[in-house]
Amino acid sequence: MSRKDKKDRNRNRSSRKKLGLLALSGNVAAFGLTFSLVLFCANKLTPLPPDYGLRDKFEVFVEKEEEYDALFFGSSRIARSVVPEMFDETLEKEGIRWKTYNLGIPAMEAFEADYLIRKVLERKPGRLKWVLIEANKWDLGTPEFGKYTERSVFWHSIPETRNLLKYLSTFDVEWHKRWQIAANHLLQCAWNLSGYGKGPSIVAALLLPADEPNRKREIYSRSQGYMSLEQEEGREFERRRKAFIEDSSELVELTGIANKYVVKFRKDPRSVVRYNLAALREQQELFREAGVRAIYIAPPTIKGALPPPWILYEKGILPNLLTYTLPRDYPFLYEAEWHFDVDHLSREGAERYSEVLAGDVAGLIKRSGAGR
Amino acid sequence: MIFTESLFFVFFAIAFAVHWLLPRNSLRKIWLLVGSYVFYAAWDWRFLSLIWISTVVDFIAGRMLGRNAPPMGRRFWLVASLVCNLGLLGVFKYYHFFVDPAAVLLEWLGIPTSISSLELILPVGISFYTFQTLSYTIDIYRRKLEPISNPLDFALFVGFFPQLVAGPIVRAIQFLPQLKDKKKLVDVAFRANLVLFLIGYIKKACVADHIAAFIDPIYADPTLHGMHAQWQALLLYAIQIYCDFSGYSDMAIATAGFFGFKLPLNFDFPLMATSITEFWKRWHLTLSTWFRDYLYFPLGGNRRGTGRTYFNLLLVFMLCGMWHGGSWLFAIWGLFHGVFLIFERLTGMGRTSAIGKPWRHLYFVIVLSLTWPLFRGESFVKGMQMYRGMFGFGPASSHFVVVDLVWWLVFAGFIVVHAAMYRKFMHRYVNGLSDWKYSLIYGVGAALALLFSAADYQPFIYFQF
Repeated sequence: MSRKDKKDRNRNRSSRKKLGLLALSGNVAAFGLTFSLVLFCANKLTPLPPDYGLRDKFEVFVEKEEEYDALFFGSSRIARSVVPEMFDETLEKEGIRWKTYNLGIPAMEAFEADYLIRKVLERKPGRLKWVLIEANKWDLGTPEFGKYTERSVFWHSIPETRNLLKYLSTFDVEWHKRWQIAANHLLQCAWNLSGYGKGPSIVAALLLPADEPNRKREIYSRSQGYMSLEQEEGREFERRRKAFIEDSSELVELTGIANKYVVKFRKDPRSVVRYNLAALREQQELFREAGVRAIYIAPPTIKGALPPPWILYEKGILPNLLTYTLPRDYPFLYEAEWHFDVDHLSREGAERYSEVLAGDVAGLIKRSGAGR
Repeated sequence: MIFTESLFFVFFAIAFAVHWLLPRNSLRKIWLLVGSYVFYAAWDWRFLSLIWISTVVDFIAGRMLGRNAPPMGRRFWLVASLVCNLGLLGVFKYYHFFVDPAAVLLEWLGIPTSISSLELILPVGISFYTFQTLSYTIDIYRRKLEPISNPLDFALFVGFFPQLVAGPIVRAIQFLPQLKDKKKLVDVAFRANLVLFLIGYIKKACVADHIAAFIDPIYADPTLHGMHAQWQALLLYAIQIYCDFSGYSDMAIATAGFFGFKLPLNFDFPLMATSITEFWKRWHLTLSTWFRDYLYFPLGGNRRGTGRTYFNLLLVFMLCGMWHGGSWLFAIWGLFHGVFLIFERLTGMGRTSAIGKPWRHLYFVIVLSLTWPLFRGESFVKGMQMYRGMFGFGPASSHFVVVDLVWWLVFAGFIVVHAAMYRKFMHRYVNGLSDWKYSLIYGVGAALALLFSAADYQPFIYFQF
């Protein structure tokens, strides 16, 4: 074989290799394109998880999203304790006309609430000017590693997961624990982005006829997102409430303890650690961009109470703060009569609390001169 | 670590990339061996020692059997291999099967016993790799195979991760020659392996795991469910176990294929069979052929008269049943199959007969369904409760298993696709696609598989065997 032939052969081989690589890249791109497209569409079509009425509550809100001036976000301590009708009525007496909606969901912690807030703000509801958010813990714990639940996956968007990992990096935990927590959340995020397991919910939402008239949705629609435990639990409520009233010693005992410790921790810098400062600052930025103002609330609670974030308020990280976690300031909110259990108010208790809260919110708005 | 788990995909990506980046075959084999042990250790690192014992004993036995030793010496090494492998299997899998009845018997005879109730954990995959290594020593003993001189190659044969924990049961004669070949990335059939892996994934994660969620509550307490639910659960169970096990096999074969290895076919559309005889020519082929070659034929097969043939069939199928676990239920399950094999031999049902195919298929489905309570029952009492429910002696409830409409659609879709694959329509279609069309369609298929995966993945059913 001559040198020229050899050269030609090498050139042919090299160009074949290049063509092969080009074809491979094209095929990988074609795969990536349809794969991402299907998942993108699926993510757009995925409804929120149905847990604790999350999906129903959000969808009912969306139906009348242009009507609301203010929204409540938080856990059951908001969901069960704020009656928007009562709140609005009291505000009106103070000369402020608002229509509010309670988007609190049982067991909703700060990252999840933050996700929901972003989801709401993305929709740009025209009248929305205020959000009232429970000053809740930014919990890094999730279900055991590899445990999938719709509720744990849905809020693991890229911004929430990034916030969470940043927050995690500020914690003083053993390195293996840190990696375990990070890996767990990254897995939840990967599941969320890949649409893992979401197919049935999407198909059901798209194809299947709606269930028989949904009682919960009717209640949410009628009561601006509020559903009392009485309405939700029916007879079971009566049984549990009766048992609680018969023996409310735990509430009495914990109230006594709270009176001592809430004051003690009032200025304790350690209280800050339970709050994700970076995420809170980012939240304020988000509100500024959306033209929305925020009031953080520490609702009346004992067991799930966090050290109220006064320090954050004093440092200006939280623009407005209303706290109800010191029982001696609001003794009636800690009487068994107004409670369903140690941590939740009954309907009557929630109505009384809504009046108190509305009064305080009115005062705050008037002081800031931002009322409408 | 299971094939449908996200951790496996990370493991596979690393194993695959490093494997093909290594310049020499010998390095690749070492890498695969290390990877295989890591894969197994992810289950329970303590049981790696059992794999190592099997590996060392059978490697030495193989070497000794290969020598021109007198027959007594060769027999000694074969027995040593059998005792070691079956001994480990006996201790870990059949301890309670033998010891518990013995304790009861001794107690009944009034003899005081102090047999400790050991709570032994079944090492995952022990039944599979034990049968693999046995095939090695037996084949050398029969002079069908030359002993291997490289212990690392032998260790890789025993521990090769794609088939280590749930098969297919690969024989030394099929695997060892592949270790000598120089592997090239360009020889890997990517398209075929990708399709096979996706099919396996869909079977397991999108079908079997979802069915588990519907039928597990029925089998948790069969006494609460009536005839309709029991039959429905049983038919769904047939689909579940097929998809679970054949899904694993498909993924194992595809995974091995990505490393340039070819594993034997384990399933050939068994639910399309029209008789129990045909079923065993399509179901868990590597186990049924193992029993055929290493037990049924040595017993004389069908060459020693009708009576002996039937006895051989019953014995082999009883042992085949017991391979699945140390329980009389499995033994009866195997015998049940053996009895129907004999019945089909006597009546000619096993062959193409005057009875139309749909009727034969119906007969097969009914007979197969009748055997599943023995397989799924967990205990004799529960198995009997399932039978009572199936024949209307359970509660009078006429409820069906509550399966969401979405899942009926998915299962129906699966059956249609399965039938199309059986008829080779899919095969022809996929083969006819250009690469870029194939990539586009594969992207959609992979995304849909993820979307319809069962969120809570279940361990593979055959891991417990």
